[in-house]
Amino acid sequence: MSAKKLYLFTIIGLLLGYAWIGFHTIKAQQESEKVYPTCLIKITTGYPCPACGTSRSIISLVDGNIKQAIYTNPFGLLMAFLMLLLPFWMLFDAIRKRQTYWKAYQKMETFFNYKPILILFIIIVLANWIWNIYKGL
Amino acid sequence: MSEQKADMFIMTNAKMFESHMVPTIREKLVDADDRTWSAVQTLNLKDPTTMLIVSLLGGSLGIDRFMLGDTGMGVGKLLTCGGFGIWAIVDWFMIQGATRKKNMMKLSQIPELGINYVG
Repeated sequence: MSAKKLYLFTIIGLLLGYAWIGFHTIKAQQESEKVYPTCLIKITTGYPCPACGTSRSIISLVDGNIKQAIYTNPFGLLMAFLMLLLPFWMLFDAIRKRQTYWKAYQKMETFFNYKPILILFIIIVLANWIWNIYKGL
Repeated sequence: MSEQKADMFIMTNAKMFESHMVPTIREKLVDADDRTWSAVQTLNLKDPTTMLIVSLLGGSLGIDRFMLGDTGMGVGKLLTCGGFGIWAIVDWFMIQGATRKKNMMKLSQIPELGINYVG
């Protein structure tokens, strides 16, 4: 992936993510805390996917309920961290006219191509998936 | 490389590449040295049809992108339920093109062929 594409992709993703979380936070204050399911796996099979519950986790985090956030889905913390970090990182790159984010992304890709890391990552995701199904998200 | 060998490669692998690149590939193969044949033969090319099936079944988990080697995008897809489900659906249509591009990148990494491809 080229640097330009990566920055564009990240910006679109962040905008969508913030819009999604913002919409649900406002909605949660007014009526129910129900989050609309968008996950294809959840819609078709009824079972949650490893990332299901990320939105709910971040919404709990916005409310200041860290325990509930971790219980709903630990990936929510990671996503919240990325959503806070990436805009500033890209802004830094834009101001300094450097591509540190893109370089870090490429490093991350080679890091994940390293077998033990990949296997560990898959195990974590699978464990989280089993936990998600057990919780019945 | 003999024309026969080049034609054989094209016949078996034409579907792996974008159609407009096929004539160029054949030309470069014919021009190339015979020693590149083994390098070309052992390339681990991905079949676009297989990738489409993988994308249909495991797209929400980003498995298609992981298989292609776009690990970053795979992680992104996995952590967002296939990008709110939208990215997963978009990828059903994009993945074959992406696979063909990746195959072309792999072929262009053989320096003896002298293919310039930026994707």
